[in-house]
Amino acid sequence: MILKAENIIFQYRKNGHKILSGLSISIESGEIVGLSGPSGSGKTTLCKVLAGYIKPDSGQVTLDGRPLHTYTGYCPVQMVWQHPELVVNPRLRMHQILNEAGDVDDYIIESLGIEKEWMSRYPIELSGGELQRFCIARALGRKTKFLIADEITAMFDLISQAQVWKFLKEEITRRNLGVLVVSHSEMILDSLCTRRIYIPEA
Amino acid sequence: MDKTPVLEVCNLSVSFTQYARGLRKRNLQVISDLSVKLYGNEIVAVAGASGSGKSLLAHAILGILPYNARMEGNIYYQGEPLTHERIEQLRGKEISLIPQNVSYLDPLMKTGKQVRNGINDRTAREKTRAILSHFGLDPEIENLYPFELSGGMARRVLISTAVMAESKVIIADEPTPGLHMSAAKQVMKHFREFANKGAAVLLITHDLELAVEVADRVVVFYGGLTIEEAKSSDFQDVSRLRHPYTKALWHAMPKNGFRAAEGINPYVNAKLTGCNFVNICSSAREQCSGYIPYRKMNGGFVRCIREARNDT
Repeated sequence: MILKAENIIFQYRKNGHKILSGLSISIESGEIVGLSGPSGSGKTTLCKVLAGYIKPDSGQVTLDGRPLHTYTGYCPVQMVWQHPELVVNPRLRMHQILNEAGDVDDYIIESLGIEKEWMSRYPIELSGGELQRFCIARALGRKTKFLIADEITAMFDLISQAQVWKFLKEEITRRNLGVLVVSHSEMILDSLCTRRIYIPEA
Repeated sequence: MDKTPVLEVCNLSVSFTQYARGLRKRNLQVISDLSVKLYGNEIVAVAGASGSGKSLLAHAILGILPYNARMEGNIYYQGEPLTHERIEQLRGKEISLIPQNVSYLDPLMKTGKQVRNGINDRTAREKTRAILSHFGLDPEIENLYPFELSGGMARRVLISTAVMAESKVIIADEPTPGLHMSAAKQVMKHFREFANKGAAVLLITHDLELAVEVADRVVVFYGGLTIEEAKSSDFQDVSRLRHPYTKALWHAMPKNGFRAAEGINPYVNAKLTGCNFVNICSSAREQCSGYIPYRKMNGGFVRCIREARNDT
């Protein structure tokens, strides 16, 4: 499969500057594409466009030639966000949050080091790194074909970071997922990616 | 150093009360025994597995633990106990927090006003402008709401709000994720200047490489326990480090090979009795399943039986 974004233009304010001005990107299944650039250059905005969370002012996102927004049900492009605490419902317990997008396979939960005991907790009772493990698991439903990873391991300690990426890399290869990895860490991008893209300051 | 610490945390423990089923309560211990001392002119880095209680330590000091949390142990500020009434007076003035969570920004207030803390005179405006540009943020962002900021910008706005107060103690909870290298370095440089003027900085971070560069001492947490206190210079040589977990952290540092240690589960709720590293430690022995004291060693501290014995 191929995820393509063509000539994407996007601005948050009517008369503000164009945060994305005519950007194009394509990701094939099995590819891990690294994306870097200074903060404020539009990395997260591009992620949101690719995962269908925002509609670009012009240009379109297609999956296998068909516009992404015409896919109904579970979106094959799933995004993991930079700040896990902003993308969990504070009034749900963790097991409810985990299964919001359908069941998650047990081996994923286990490999990500999610403890049974955390399932009955509320988000406020978990640390940033613990929450992020749930967010990653939630995005790895069986129908996921592309994964957009926006700075997803910045809240982990070095050991957990290495462990999580080791698991994700195996999972990506096994399921032949296409992945976009946004990171400020040269080390992560260098060791993971098959291809690199750099966005300069907008 | 025999002067009194600016901030001292002794044997802190934190537990959450949960309602299991109906009205039945249960207690969930998340921090068992944390101790940290912070002196003036000093940056102390706190490293450790995520979920080891780093952020809770910050929240305990600031008195902003969630309503269902219970705290035990003592916190002293300039030699006097830091009671709840006292911290309410001091926080935001003498002690300030840079929170990890970007949702601590008020979503309904423009960025500039938040940094100025609501004060709207000329000095405050000029100072805000100066601090923001110091961290590489354009004047335009003062008119944006938090949801319009990128992750790295929001992070720098949080830092600016704390810097604005010119406190005696800054507790920085993960100030650098989402920042590109040059911005992160700028923030660290600022902390150093700040400490050199007599203040104290508690730097909670995962970025050990950056921490070792700027901090004077590094305290390592694991599963709600302090397991080691080392000088930053000890990290130049792995043999000077004391605890097996710290050594594993050292090996996971990018420049030392980015190795994921086998057999280390960062999410064990460590207990005071029994060491969690018996399986990977080459010098494990019978006593390791007993009470493990936190004691002095080679100018630092460690929670280990073996190392303490070598010391005598």
